[in-house]
Amino acid sequence: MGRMAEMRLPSPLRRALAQHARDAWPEEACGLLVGVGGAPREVVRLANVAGDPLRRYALDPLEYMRVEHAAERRGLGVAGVWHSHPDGGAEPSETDRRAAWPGWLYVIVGLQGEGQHCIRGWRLVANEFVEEELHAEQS
Amino acid sequence: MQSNRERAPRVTVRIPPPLRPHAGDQPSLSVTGATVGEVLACLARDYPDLGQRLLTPEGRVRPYVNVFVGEQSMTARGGPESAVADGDVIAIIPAVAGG
Ligand SMILES: [Zn+2]
Repeated sequence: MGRMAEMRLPSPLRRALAQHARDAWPEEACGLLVGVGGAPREVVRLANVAGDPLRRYALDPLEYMRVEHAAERRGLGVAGVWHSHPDGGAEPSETDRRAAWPGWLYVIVGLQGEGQHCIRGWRLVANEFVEEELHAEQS
Repeated sequence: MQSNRERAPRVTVRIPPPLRPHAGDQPSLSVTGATVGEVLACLARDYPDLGQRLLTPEGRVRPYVNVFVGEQSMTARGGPESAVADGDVIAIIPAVAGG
């Protein structure tokens, strides 16, 4: 096994993700990561339009399109997707794996009660999620 | 006026990041076709790997992609038979979901 791939996820983005997850609780929060060359620079929260937002998330396609176009007009791009697990870990579920697109970073915020949370990053490689180590600061 | 043979409209098709590796790494492509369905079929001929991810073997749009013309979904416009005009922007939008 090689070393785990790494990605920088700056502290303000981590704080935003945790806050969005708490604001949405008990529902799942979700949105996009906008960045440069795959590295996230901004967290965009979008509506969760899933039929069962307590257990699922889904983005509205029109909202997705507007974020992608606006990002690319600024020379940025959609670097990934984030969502929360309102009462659990930050490991992707089987539903997450089946719906995931290759190439993007998937960040999951797991809320664990008592104000605790865990943020982990994943990328689909050959149909399986491989963890990417998220660093708060430039290494 | 043009010749008696009508020229098919030329549209821009925007490709989302996860599908760009199958579209020559381009964020958008210029394609001709009179309807949304024709545009997608043309795209699938030029980029077969992309086509396979967008369309079923019967040529229907796969459930995990959405197709928009401007800010209106293809479905709302009447499906793949709906006409497109010169300069329209057709966006391929990946379904983003999970649990
Ligand atoms: Zn999940």
